[in-house]
Amino acid sequence: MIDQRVEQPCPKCGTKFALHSRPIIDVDRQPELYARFLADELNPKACGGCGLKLTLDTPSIVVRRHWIGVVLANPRPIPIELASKVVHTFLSETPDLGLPPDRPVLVTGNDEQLRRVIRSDPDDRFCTVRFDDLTRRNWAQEIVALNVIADAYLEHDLPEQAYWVYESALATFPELYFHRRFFDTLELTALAAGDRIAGGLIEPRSAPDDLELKRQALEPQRPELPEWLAHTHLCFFEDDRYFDQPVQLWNVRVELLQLDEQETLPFDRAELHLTGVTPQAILPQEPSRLERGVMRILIVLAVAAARQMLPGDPLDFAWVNNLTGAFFQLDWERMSAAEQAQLKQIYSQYTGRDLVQDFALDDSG
Amino acid sequence: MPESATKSNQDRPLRIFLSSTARDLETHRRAVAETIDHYGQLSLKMESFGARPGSSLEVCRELAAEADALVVVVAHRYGWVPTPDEGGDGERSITWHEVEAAVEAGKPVFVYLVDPEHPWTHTKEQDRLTEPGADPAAVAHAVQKLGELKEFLSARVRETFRGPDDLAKKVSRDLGNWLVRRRQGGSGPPAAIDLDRDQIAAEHFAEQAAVRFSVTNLSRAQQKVGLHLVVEEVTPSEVVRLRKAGAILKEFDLEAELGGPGEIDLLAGKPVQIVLAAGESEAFRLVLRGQEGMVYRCALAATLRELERQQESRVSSAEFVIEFPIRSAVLLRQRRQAG
Repeated sequence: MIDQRVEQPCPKCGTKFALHSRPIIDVDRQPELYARFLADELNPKACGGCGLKLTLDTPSIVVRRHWIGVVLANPRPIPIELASKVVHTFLSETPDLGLPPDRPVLVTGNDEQLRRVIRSDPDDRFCTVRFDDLTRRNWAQEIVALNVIADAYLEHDLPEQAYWVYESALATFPELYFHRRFFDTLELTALAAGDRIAGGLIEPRSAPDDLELKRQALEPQRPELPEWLAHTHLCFFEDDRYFDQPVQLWNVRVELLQLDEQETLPFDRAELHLTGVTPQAILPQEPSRLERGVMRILIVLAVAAARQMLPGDPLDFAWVNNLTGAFFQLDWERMSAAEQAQLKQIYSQYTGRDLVQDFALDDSG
Repeated sequence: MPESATKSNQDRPLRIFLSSTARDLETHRRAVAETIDHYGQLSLKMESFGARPGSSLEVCRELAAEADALVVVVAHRYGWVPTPDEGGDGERSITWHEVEAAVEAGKPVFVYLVDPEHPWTHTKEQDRLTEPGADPAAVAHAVQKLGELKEFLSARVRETFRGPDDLAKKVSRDLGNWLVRRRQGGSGPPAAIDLDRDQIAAEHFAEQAAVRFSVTNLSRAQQKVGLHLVVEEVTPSEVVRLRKAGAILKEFDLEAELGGPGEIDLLAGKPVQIVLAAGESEAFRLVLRGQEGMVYRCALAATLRELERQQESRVSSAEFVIEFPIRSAVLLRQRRQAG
């Protein structure tokens, strides 16, 4: 049951106090309740009898004209499947609301985050990630690295080469096809390449022709996701820590937003931003260390190939190589001997060379 | 009638002669020329002389003498030495002749000598010894004459520089001060808009670009400043780039949404008034949002109103171009379908 007003006894002195459990706050219909939510006075902070400090966080729904806010109030990070289920339950059980067909849903971990969103301070923009993006594994950092390499080819008017940078990653990890941003770039480079055919291909064909083959092979495998996930957004602030746990590197491309004067969400004006922090409320889905290792090898090889083909040495390449190399070393040390052996074998298959030697890795086990 | 007394001459851009060796100082020359252009003045440099009758030495001396000022930049090369047949004396380089011509004509000369401690990757005069068929005596003579030229120039007020950016900053500062002084003498434009071209790019963001500029009041009077962005032309861009995530831009105090050609009042709706005292400068940061796949040719304009006399005038910056590349497959598909 949602939206209950319940009485609870104080665990220390037994004094009863009233609290809102899972309130639904319709701003137009319940302005007084909304004012209390904004003032963080929805539920008492201390027992009226003995003064015991109370933490009575509860999931909440705030209904606005242009969007709906959902506070998860989860005590620890949860997987996206569970978060989706919670949001779905809240919205579908909310009277007169249902799942809005296209009204954005803003999901936050706690109520203070939602208040910050509503305050709409120009210097306090919030990060948003679409729920459907969160259902996919987190390849964001690797996609950014591929971006840098492909962009260098584009700058030298070699879109056909840019396409094949993406294709090489896709050939190894077909799931990337379903990453919205990966696919957008894949298609962009294919269109930019037109009928140009990149050199050195075993089976020469144009990028659009190759993309069409990929489309035919992969579209039938596209995971079916409920439509509402595409307009449901996890919102968080980069400086916010509300779980007492170490900060993880999340590295997700987020859209920075601020509610505009009409309290609508100007997604078309959102700024793309690479955040390095975990949003805490939802657990990112990480690929395995071995998979990451394979992808990072692909990136390092793609950088080396680009360096051979392109004049000069874009500064970003050094950044990509250093970052990728550093993470690769770190993951290598944490891999089991079996994983290391597997990776060495994969590298040898790709290049005919020795991974340990090429990356100056510690192979002492 | 003296030049400064005629209205047309008051309004014309000042001609500033740029004297230096060419190949080793190419980027430096470009940086100085851009700085001169930013002030709305005209840079006279060998690259733009074109075909003119008379020997090169004669033309260069004439232009240096006729210019309103001369900027001379010297690093580690002595440069071309006109022979007696070419009108020279076989000793002094073309740069030396140009400086002399300006000095003889009573024109201000701004001297910039490379910092001897600054690392130098271009060929130095003495490096010519390693060239095939080099004449050691000629090279040694050129090295000695380069030293003499630097001594000759050091007798004037001078400044040292390290890279092109450092040089541009120092030239900008010196020219700015000089222009202020000139204006106080009653000639020249009432203000200058100095545009930092290097900052104009939509590198990381599809829809926004950063422009930094400053406005300097070159007049003797206090001026109220209005700021406008003039969009001269909008054309489609064919450039395709990927949309990168970037740093958060927070510090911009002006913003404008680029549309079609026209003028945008950058201070409209802003509860501020910009008033500059004589010689005072104010720096601005402007964020511009444009449409993906479009190129905008723009200029900044400042309207100035003398507070005492309520006299109005207007100055413009050099033109600049902002390109917002195509970053989405949707737009590229539309463009391809449209042919």
